[in-house]
Amino acid sequence: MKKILFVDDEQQMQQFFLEGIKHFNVPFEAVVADSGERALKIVQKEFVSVVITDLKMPRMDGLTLLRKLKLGYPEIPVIIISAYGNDKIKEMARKNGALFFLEKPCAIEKIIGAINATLKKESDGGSMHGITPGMFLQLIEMEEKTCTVRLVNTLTNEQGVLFFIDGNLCDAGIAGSRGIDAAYVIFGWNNVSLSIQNYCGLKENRINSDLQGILLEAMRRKDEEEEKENEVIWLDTEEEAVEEKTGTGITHTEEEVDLSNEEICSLVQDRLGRECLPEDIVSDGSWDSTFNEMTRLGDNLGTGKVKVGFVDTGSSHNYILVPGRQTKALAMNRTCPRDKIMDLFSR
Amino acid sequence: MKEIFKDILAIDGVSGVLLFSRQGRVVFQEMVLPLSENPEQRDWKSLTTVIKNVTEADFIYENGRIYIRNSAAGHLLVLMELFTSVAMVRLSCDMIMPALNKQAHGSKGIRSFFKW
Repeated sequence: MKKILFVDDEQQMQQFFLEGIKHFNVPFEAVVADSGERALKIVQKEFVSVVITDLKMPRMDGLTLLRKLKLGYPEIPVIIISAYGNDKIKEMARKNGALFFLEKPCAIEKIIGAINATLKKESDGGSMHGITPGMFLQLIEMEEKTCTVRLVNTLTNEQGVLFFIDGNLCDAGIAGSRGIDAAYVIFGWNNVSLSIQNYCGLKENRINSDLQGILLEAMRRKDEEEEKENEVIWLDTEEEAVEEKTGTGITHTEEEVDLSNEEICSLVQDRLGRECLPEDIVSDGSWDSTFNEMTRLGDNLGTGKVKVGFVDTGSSHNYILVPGRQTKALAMNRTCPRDKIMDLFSR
Repeated sequence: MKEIFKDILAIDGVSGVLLFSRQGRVVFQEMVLPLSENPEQRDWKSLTTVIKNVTEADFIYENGRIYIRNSAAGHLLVLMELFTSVAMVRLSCDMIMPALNKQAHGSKGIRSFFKW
């Protein structure tokens, strides 16, 4: 969910905003800060979509906060809300990049309206779902687009932003990280939803690196991370195997194992968590021909027996095929990490 | 055609690329090492029939891995070692899809080459 940061040194105003939005079905959650310094600390750690700030605050005023945000976080639109709205101040706010200037006292509906209008602008260039950032990058590069792209990792709900000037990746940001390191993380995401804004508030290239190089490094880092995670799962499995052997004196060979639906669910839940549980398990023979054909293909190409398969038919589920006396097809939510599930069953 | 697949073939552990027409014919193949039996000599109609609605598939075998992507040009199949980075293969496939689709929808000559 989008996060809106409301900055005002008056606690009464903070409460007015927090309580006010409760009466509306808003597509965002709100956090508050009582100073410009605190606001900057929040945007450094968390991914914030819009900042609404008061102008007159002790230590760091709203205009200074606005300048700092535009410099360090150009993707964050800023709305100014103030009782000191003379023309000169309004002009200064506009020149420094404020999107709206609301005058106090201001009805909550008006503030929500300004937030919604701001959020709408984030996708004026369109939005896409269920794609890999790498594929998308190629399109942006080809079209030499200048834009700001906001991404959500559909698996983890992490958010990120990419800045393109004439098709060149110039900066990236995720919660807690900016620049090339953030780009490595974003390009490691498998499945994202993204919105394109046909505007880039960034004026300089902060990455200055070859795009292909970034992609390759992102993949390398991702593989390294997955290997580490898999090592942990593998170690756990070995420990349990030893435990089972000493406890019962029986060891199972791969051929003897034909997991029941309950065993499959328990294995997935133990290793990958409840959110990865299959939504359905089919073993009615409907997947046998696919499995047999893939076995025939494997025979021809010299790869041996099938251990596990993944199939995407473009439907609402992905399927994990598990061999046994009966082929089992596990209908998985599309957001489940298929590499981890495949790795689990291939072992 | 070979040019399109060169990035995939350059990935560490990828041992070959095959492109099946929807009729089950091998329309392109490039193997790092020759196979004991040439897949072109077999009819793969039954395979392409069962995977005709599959947009993407990935199978782990005892001694290798096969990744399949559906494209306008047919079913692209990447044969790889178990240690190969599938994420990298997937990404490379994403990247060649526009070129592959363009080939399939391109000139009549190329289109007829795929024999729908």
